[in-house]
Amino acid sequence: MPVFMSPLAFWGILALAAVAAVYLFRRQSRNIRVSSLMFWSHVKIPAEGGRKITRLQIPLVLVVELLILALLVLAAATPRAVTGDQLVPVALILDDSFSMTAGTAQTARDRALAWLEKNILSRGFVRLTMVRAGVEPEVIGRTDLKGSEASHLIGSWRCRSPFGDINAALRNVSEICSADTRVFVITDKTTQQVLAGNISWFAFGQPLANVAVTTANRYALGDVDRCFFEFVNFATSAVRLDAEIVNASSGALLERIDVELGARSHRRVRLSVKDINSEIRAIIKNDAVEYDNQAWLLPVRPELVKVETGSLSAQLRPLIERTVNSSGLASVVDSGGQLAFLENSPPDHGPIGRWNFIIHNASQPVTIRGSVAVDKNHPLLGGLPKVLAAWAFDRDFSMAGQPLMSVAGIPLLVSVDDSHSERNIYLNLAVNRSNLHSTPVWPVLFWNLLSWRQQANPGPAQFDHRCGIEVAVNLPGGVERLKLTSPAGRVSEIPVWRRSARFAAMEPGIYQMQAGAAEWRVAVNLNSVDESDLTDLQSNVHDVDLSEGDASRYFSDVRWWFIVPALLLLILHQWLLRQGRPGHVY
Amino acid sequence: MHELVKNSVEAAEIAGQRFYLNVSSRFSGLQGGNRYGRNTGNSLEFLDHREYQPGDDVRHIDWNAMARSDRLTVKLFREEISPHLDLLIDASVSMSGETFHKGAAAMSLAALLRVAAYNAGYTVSCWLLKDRCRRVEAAGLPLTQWPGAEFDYCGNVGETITAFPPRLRNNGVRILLSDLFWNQEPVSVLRQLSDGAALLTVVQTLAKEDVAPEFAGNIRLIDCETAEAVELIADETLIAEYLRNFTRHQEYWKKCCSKYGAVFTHCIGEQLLADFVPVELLKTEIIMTRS
Repeated sequence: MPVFMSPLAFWGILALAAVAAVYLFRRQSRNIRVSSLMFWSHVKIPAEGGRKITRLQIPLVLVVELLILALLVLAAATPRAVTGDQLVPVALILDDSFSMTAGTAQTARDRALAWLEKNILSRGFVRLTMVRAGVEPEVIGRTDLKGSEASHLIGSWRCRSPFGDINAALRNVSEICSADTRVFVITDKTTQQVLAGNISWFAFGQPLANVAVTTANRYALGDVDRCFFEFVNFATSAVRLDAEIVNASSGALLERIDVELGARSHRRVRLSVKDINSEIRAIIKNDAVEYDNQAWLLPVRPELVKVETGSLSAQLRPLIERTVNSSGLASVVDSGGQLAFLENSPPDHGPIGRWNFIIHNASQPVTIRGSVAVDKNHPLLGGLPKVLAAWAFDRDFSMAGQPLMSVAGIPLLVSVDDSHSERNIYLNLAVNRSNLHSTPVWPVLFWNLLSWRQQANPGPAQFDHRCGIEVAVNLPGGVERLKLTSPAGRVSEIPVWRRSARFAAMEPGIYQMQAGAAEWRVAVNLNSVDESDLTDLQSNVHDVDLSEGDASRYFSDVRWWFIVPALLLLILHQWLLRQGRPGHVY
Repeated sequence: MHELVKNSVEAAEIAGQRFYLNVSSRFSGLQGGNRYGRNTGNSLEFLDHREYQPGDDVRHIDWNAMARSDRLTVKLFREEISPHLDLLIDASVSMSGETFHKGAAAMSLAALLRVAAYNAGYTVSCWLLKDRCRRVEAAGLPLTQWPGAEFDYCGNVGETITAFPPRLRNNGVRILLSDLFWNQEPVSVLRQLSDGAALLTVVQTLAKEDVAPEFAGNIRLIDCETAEAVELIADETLIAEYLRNFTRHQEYWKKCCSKYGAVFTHCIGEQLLADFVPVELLKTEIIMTRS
């Protein structure tokens, strides 16, 4: 589709009207009364009762003349068009944050879409790259979209990210696009940044008053769960806050908040929940911006690790059980354990996914007191205090695996992962000759062990998340896909890799997961001051002409598109005149 | 009556004094009459002698002549005839035309023929052809004073003649003045009019625009009888097509007239009104110039 550099030439269209007017006035029929129509027999007269259609008779010559004139007018308007494969490269950075959807009648996204359709997407000469600027930049479709394709794909720009990292998107565009690409940032706030010449920043926001839940937190404290909510009025004037905190499981109202919130002030609510398995929900009932009016808190207590100690000796078993029980993370069971403590015995193949902690209790150990090399980056040894214990060990012990603690090249603690994703941890320790169990290292080591194992249990490691966080879910062996239902009801399947599935939680609400017979839920809350504070939204919009400036080098003069057909039509016109076809009055 | 028609009729009545209607040789003298015919008959007016032929009335043998010449000779007497003219005038709207020339010509021709008939000793009956064939009771009146002599009938005159034929006098001369612009089979019309006629003459009265239309460009033709209209782009092709159709129609009437022993002629209104000399009628010797 060409662009016209001299649109004033379109006044020449009036010439077409003039020619048509001359034709019509010249061709006005004269009324002539005749004695009879019986001799004008070749005139087709519709049968009585039929539909009479009086068709305007337009001679071919007039049509040709009008076409010639129209083509000449178009040629005079200096048409330019992108020819060949050389299209104007344009990159769109689309702010994917929630604030783009704020508003009642028309959102910033709506305004941006209308502007894009008018200024960018309807242009047939652009090669588009669309980047969704969310938590991480993400290219929509391909990097060489046509306008029509982009119009179709832009529907996937739903603005469901907890924040829009525009700068990351700009960096991404600078890497994947050429230097002459015109970049348009579509967001709802203006910027004070000094932008490169090819970057245009368009803001479609409008300031809005908003009350939001900015913080929601829940943690276990003894027999109860403590919940914390913060309600903030971001408006520059006082508003009435009408909110409720309810036990969504039982429907019981836990607290009703009906207070006057001053300008840019907040209200914090703390409450203890005895029903530790209940879902707690906070709802603001009188605010128009909906995406930050709710917060969900699910039970936070993970399942206890089942520990088997039946294979330990009478000397070691009480010590281990006492340590396990004091951690609060595990319970001792007789069978079906997820973690088995063994002594001097090779690990047997127990239930799938069971970990074995094997204590190599040597009969002829050597004892050292001094430095022990520790891999503190390993989850088993995080936060471990300095080892200042007498450690009796088997100097001939060796094990193929990852040594986590060692002394003089002799492994003291080794982690071995087998092909069944089962883990065996070997502790080279003669308990009766050591005092490690009476040092701070002992409870820390076991807490780390139990915590690590607990994190490997099927299900999510945490149940309450903020938007934008990647949620990791451990899965039992044999599961290949995790069925995920988003708060909006969209169902998707997440592939499982090494008994773990991960997904980015972008929408606030409750995500439901299902793997076989097991089901879990996680709550995702927006909790974003940036997306809730809408008072600084601004608008900075103007129309752009992609054919101007540097982009004009992609355009070539295509007047011949119109002049050549006009010449051909002129030849046809002359031929028609020479033919003097009967039945046509010129 | 339109002023042009009135003036033309008055002028035609004067012009008609120069002509007389030719006496048909086909008049029968059996009924007697007030005028001598061209043939031999039963009047007392001696015409000629001729030799007796078998079948001649023996009462007509001229015995004196036989005595003188010894040959059978019969006397011939002139016939007595009572010539009558039935003048049928198409009074449809199409006869008035756009310029009234055709209507004026038809009425003028009627006036002229009537005077010419009177000059030849004819009695005259005039008929106005509308939804019925109405005889003009006061036919002796000037045409300008005829009641109902307006071209105002929008129907098919041919159908009128066929469905409601006029009670025409036997053995009379009949002249039909019409443009013949109606969709009716000529045979049925001619059968009605020629039945018992001494002579039937069809005078197609036309206007110049009927014979040579001069249209060009975009035109909307409106039928003056039905008000039906057609849009056309008039050019030579179109006119030629019209003339082909018109000529075909005229030729068909001629052919049918010939079949029924009728005389077909035509009259162009504008030409007649110029000098009131009906050239085509003179050529066919329907009327003759008085010496």
